[in-house]
Amino acid sequence: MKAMGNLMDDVQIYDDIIPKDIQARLTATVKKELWTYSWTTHPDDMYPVWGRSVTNPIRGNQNAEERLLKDGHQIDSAEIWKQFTDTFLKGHSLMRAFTIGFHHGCEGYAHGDNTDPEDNGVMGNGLNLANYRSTIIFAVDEWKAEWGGEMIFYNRDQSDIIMAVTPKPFRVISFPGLLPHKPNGPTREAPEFLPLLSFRSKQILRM
Amino acid sequence: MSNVIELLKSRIEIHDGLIPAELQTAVAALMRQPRWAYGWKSNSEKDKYSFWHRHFAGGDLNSRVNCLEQLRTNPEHASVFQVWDLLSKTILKGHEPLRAYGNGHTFGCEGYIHVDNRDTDNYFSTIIYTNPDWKAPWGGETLFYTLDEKDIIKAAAALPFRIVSFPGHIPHKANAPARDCPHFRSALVFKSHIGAKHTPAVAPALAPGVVMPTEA
Repeated sequence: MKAMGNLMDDVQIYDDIIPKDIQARLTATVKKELWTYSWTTHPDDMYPVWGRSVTNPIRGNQNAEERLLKDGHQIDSAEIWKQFTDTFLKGHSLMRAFTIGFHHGCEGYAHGDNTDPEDNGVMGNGLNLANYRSTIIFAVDEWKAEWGGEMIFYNRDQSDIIMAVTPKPFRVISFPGLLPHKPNGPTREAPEFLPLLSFRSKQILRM
Repeated sequence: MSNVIELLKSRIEIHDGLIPAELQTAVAALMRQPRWAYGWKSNSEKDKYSFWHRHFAGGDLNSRVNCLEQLRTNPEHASVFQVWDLLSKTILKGHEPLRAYGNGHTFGCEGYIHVDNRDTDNYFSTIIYTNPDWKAPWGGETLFYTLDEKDIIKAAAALPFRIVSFPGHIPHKANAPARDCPHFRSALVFKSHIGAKHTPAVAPALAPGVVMPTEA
């Protein structure tokens, strides 16, 4: 079983890895009329946020890459996914991809993306069955720390903060899906919408 | 991570469970009184929007006058003095109080990134979150930044009567509570320096270009 301290160490932050041409295309894409205000991280969430599916959720060990290649061009996500699987997500299968977005007054709730023990290697006895990861990109070409929108990470029972990451243009955060987290809303000072492109993936380590 | 960042992080101290339950109750009652004013800014020249505030003791941003007597002799704020008395015997041993005040935030109302003082050696800020009921996902966390204010180095959840003490030159920001938070997020703040009899700590210098508050 992975301890929470180890999970925090497993939050990876990458700056300047998205090529400029993809940044430009993605910036233009997320400004299009493609959003719907009905996205929730959990059915019990009282308030929704802005979102848009790129690939539908995949159950079990299916791979959503085929759908991403077919539909991903809408959000310029196929090239990005390939770049990730060529580097820090080598061996990962895509489970789903989507966009989610925030403005002042609109924020996410604290949640884990996947609490399935089999997907997170928490079956006990130290068995690491699978490695489920969430990888997000802040799809903005300009952002100031003052504008908020931080990603806050919590301990397992969400009783305390263990880490916070400020958005930066095209900063990538990859973390264990088990780790509770919350996207903060932008501050009242923020003049921009904060769109995130999110990939959920899994690497089968042991069947 | 650079040594400077590690050093800054190590100087942001978080203490839980230091304030006794009875004193927590007294402070929480004080913070519920109808004595708040809206319009306070961490930097009156730079910040566009305000938040809630109430003054307990001491001077302005630049004051280096010990306000202990003012704290000790005001029966209306007896619980504030009791908290200071406790701090001065524990985590702030050797410190003199310079200011004491309350800050308050609701959903949609947050602070700006700022530093409390330009003094990198001997000026300290201590925040006590005074809500008896608070959940970490309700937001209101204090975020600490690199000296150039571009990245977060540490975050402190506003948990009940948690104490966060740090050198005043480290940039920080009070986040607003989340929209599903039903409470006003209040904090008791002390500004202090180490008295002449004690040796000041050594801290990294303020980065060029870091904006100083005109009022905090």
